[in-house]
Amino acid sequence: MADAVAGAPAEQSRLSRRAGMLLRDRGASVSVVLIVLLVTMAALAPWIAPFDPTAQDVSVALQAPDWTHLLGTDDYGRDILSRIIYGTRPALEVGLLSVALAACVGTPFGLLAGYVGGWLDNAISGVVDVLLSFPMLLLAILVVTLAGSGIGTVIVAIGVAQIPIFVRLARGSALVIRELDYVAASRSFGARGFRILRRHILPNAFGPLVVMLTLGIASAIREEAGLSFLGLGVQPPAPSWGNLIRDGVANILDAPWLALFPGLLLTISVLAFNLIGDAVRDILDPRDIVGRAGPRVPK
Amino acid sequence: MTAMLLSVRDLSLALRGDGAHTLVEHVSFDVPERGVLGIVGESGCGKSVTALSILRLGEPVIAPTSGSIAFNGEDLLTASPRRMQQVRGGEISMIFQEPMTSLNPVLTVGFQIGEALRVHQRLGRRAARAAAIELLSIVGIPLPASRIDVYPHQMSGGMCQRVMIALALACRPKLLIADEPTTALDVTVQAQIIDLLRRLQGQFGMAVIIITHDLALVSDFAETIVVMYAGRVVEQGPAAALFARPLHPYTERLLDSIPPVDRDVDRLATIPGTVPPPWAMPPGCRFMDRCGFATDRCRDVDPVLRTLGDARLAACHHPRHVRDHATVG
Repeated sequence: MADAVAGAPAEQSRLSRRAGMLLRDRGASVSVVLIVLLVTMAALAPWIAPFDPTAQDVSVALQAPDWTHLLGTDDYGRDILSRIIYGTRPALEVGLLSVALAACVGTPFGLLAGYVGGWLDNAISGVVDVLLSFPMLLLAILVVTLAGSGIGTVIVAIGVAQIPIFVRLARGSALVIRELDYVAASRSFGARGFRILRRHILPNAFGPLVVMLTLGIASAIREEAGLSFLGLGVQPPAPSWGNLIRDGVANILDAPWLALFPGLLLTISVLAFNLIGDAVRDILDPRDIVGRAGPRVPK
Repeated sequence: MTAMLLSVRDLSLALRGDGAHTLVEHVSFDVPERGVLGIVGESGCGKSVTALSILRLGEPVIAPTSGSIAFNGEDLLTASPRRMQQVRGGEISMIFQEPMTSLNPVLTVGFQIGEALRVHQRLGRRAARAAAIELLSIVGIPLPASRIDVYPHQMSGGMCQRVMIALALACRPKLLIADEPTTALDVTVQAQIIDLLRRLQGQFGMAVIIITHDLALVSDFAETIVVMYAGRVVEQGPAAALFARPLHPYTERLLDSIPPVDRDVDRLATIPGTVPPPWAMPPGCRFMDRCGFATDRCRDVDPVLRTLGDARLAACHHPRHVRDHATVG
C-alpha cells in the first residue's frame, strides 16, 4: 500500500509541490511571469520609468515610437512608456485592495447566510439580489458619484460592487458543506456553530473563493480602467490605463500608439489573472495532490 | 436492578413541518453501564434516527413528540444546548456509517482528533498531539506518529473508521453509539472493526450501542438486542435467547437471511416486500404484508409489545417458538 508517494513529511514540501503544479500548467506559468513583471513594474516605477510621467514637453508632442520615447508621446509631449509604467500602480492597487475588501466583507456574510439559513439567509440574500440586479459598473459609478472621485473611492466602489459575488459563492458552498457527514460528525463531537464555520465550512469553501479572488482581481482591473476611462477614476494628470486609453481615443487615427499600448497591457493583465484563476482551481483540491496511499511504511 | 446508564422511554419522533409523519413510535430500551446493546432492522425502520435523537442531532428537522431519554438520570431531551455540547463527544460519542466522508478532507487526522481534545479537555496544542498519537495507537493504526499528519483521503476506509473511533474515544465517553460502523467496509475489515470495538469496550469500560442491519455481526458482541421494524420495537431480548428462539416472525426472517456458512445454497433467503413508508402505515400489524403467519386479527388489531418469558418482549399476535421457550424457561 505504500507504493505511490510518501505523504508524511508533507508540511514543507506541500507548498513547493503546489507551486510545481502551477508552473507545469503552461498558461499559468506564463501568467505568473507576467504578474511578477507587472508587480515589479509598479514597485520600481520611479527607477525604471525613463521620464517623469507628468512632465510635459510640447516640442515633442504626438511623436511616434522612437529610441528616446519607446512608445511615443501624447499631445502634451508626455512619455507614454513612463505613463503606462506608472499606470500599473492604480491598476494593481485597485485590483488587489478592492477584491480584498469584497472578499473580507462578502465571505463572512455568505458563510453565515448559508450555514445559519432562515431569516438571516433571507435578509442577506435579499440585499445581495438587489445589488446583483445592477450592472457592476453602474454600481461603481453610483458610489463614485456619491463619494467623489479618487483612488480610495474607486477601491471602495469596485469592492462594494464585487461583494455580492463573494456572498453568493460563500453561501452556496456553505449550503453544500453544512450537510456533509463530517459536519454532522463534528457536531456529534460537541463542536459549536462558530467552530464548525471556521474549521469545516470556511476551509472547504476556500477553493472556489480563491479562484474567485483571482478572477475578481482581473475584473477589478478592468473596472478601474473603465471608471478612469469615463473620468470617474484616477484623475489626470495622474496616469492610469483607463485615462491613457481615453486620451488616446481622441487621436486614434493620427497616433494609434496612444491607445494601443495601454490597451494591450490592460488586456494582458486581465488575461493573466484569469488564467491564474483557472490553474489555481485545479491545484487547490488537496485530493489531487497525493494519490490514495499512506505514508511509506517500512516493512 | 442496577442503575441504567441510558434509559430511553416511550420515545416518538416526527418530521417537523406537517407533523403527520411519525418516524419512530414508543421506543423504549435501556443500556446498563458497560452494557452492549444492538439495534437491528432493515433500512428505513428508524434505527439511525433513534440514535441521532439521543444526541439530539436530528433537530430541528426531526423532533421528539413524546418520551424521555435519561442519561445517568438526566433527561437529555430537556437539557440546554450548552449542556448538550458537553455531552456530545464528552460523555456520549458517535461513529458513523461512512468513515471516508465523516472526516474533514482538508484537515489532517491528527488535527481533527486534537480538536476534540482541545474542545472538551482544554488541552494545549502539544499535549493534544501527544494524546492523539496515543489514541491512534490504541485503535491499532500502525506508525501513529507519522500517520497523524496524513489527510483522510490518504487512508483506506478501515483506517478512516479507526480514526473516527479514536476521535470518538478522545474524551473517554461513557457511551459509544456506532451507527452501522461497518456497512461501508470490506467484509474482512468489518470483523476487525467489531473486534476493535469489543476490545475498546472492555478497555475503556464504556457502554456501546451498535446499530446494524447485519445480525451476524453483532451476534456475539451485543448482550441485548432490540429489533426495530417500521419505526417500532418489534422484539427485544437477551442476544443468545433471541438468536436461538426468535419470537417475532420478522426476527426469524432476518436470521434466516444470514447466508449459512456450512452448506451451499442456490438462492439466499430474502424477505419479500419493503418497509411501509411513514405516510402509509397499515392500521394493524405493520409487518403483516410480509409475514407468512398473518391472520385477520393481524390486519385489524395492532399488536402491542408484550412480555413473553424472561426479559423477552415481542409485538406479535402469533409469536414463534413460544412453546419451546415456555418449556425451557
